[in-house]
Amino acid sequence: MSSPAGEDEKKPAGGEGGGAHINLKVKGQDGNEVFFRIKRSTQLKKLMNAYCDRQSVDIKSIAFLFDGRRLNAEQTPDQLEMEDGDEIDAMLHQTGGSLPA
Amino acid sequence: MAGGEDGADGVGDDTELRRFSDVELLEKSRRIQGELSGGIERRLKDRGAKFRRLLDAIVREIDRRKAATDDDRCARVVQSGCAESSVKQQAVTISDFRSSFGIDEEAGVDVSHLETSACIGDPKTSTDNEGILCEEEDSCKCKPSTSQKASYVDRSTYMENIDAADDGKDNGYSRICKDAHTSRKRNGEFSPTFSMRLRSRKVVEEVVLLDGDTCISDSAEKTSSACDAMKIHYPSWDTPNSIELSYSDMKCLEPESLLSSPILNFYIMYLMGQMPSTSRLGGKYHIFNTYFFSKLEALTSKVDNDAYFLNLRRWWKGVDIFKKAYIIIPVHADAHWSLVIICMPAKEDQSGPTIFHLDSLKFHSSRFIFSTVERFLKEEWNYLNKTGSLEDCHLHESVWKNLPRKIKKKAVTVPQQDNEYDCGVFVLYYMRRFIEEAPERLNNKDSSNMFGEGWFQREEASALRKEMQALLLRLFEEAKDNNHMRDPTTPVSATAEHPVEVLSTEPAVPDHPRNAVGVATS
Repeated sequence: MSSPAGEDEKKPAGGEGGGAHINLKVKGQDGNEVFFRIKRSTQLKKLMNAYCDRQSVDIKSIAFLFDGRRLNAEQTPDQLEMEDGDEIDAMLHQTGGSLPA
Repeated sequence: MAGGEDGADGVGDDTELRRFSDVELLEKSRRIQGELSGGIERRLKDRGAKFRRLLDAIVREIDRRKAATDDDRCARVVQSGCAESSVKQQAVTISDFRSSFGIDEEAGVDVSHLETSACIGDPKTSTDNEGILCEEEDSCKCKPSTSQKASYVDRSTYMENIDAADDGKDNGYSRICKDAHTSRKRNGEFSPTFSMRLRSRKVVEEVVLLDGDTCISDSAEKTSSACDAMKIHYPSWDTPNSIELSYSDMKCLEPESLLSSPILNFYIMYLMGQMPSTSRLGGKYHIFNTYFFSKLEALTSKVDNDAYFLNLRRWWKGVDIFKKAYIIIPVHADAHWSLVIICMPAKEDQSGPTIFHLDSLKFHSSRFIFSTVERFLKEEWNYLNKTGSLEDCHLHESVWKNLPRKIKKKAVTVPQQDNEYDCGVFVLYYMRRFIEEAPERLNNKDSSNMFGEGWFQREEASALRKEMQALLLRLFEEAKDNNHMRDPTTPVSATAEHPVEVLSTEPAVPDHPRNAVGVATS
């Protein structure tokens, strides 16, 4: 019942598409997608800032998630073993109290 | 759902309502009227005064918008020019992006007009089959700049719809009005130039080139004060799932404030850390973060379900869902928090998994939540059935074979909040109490004894707000003392009780000079 060996494993960074740059897709909750081409060694805060600039949103109101884990601005695609074409979710912070109006 | 005097959902005045769309405003007003007519004011301390105030504000905002639409007919189209001539533009081929993102001619993404050169020389016109005309400006009018950062100019155009009433006939065309005085400058971004083709159905996607050494505008990161800017990582910087919190995130823990996702996700991580090592290492629990349910919701509306689900599986990579005793999922919808707990039976138990829904206001639709979570379990079961073998099965054989029919659902009665702001606190307290009290595996008899109105006093749950605030204040103090705003790349020694690291948002001083366009010299 467990998943087959290596099913979820990522290709090494140096493999296919393992050049200096990587193509990433940032997907908003509305389905809107922005494509980025970024160096594998570049901190993701550059991508985050550029995305928030383009969408005119405050970076503090957005969580960027990769495979469900929140990204830290200082991480790089290499550290996260990201592959060409990988998708990052841009999720608005959620707030809740009680009866929605 | 007010925080204090803010109106029923934290919306305090007319200006704050402007961020909502017309549809959302109408939906809000309809919902408030429904709640008021349903007698909700009897349960609220202010007898629904905040809801009525918000309803008035919504009506005013709708009237204001109606008046504004009569005056304003211009839709703005922003057209990007080229980067400075001194900046080397990186070429990106169409095939690169087609292969990377699986885009083809039939897809809804049009990359056919991606220009790989920095500038377009000739003005072009292109017409769509719907009769919309769009004219491209010559974007090669960039002058070298002495600025430290690379920049490009946006030439702004206004598109004015010609109304049938204005000129006597509806010709279906749009007039492009060029505005010579509205060029804006944006710093530090590389962007290939796109043909400005207006289409009714296809969305033109931008490709943004980010050079590793180029200065990107940090305008998005500006913070109000050094204190607010201070950040910690819990449990520590190098933990893969660490939670980043800034001091300003604690504002939502003030009295009568609405809890936000960073705080909920922090406390989830904290609870995981507090669990006895046996249950944690034995894999008794799996707690998803607050964003997971919204991804599950999308699963029901996807055309290409299989591909979406395969992608979604990466959220619980390496975790066998059916091996866990309990899967906990916070639910956020309609600005309200509730909780789902999935209980997996023991292998010898012939009953199926049970989905419990705990809601401190009985506001969320349990039926919708059950169908969403049930869909998740069925999809995972389907996937594992195709790829796995029954020898690995952690459920009774008869249960596993008929799992879709064996899933039980229960909306359980739990202690209820008596205010307009504590649902997030209640969700965290349900979680905490459940983790403290749940047996190795929960059976039907246990569940009927466990939950109920008398499970705990509501004051106990409300007190968690102050408890979390004190905990976070202590973590920030410890972090400040231990690391003294240390650079995040520097290794630090964490305290034994709360391994946590503090970050400063001060930019690191570059260790080599930069040339005129913000690219590091080799």
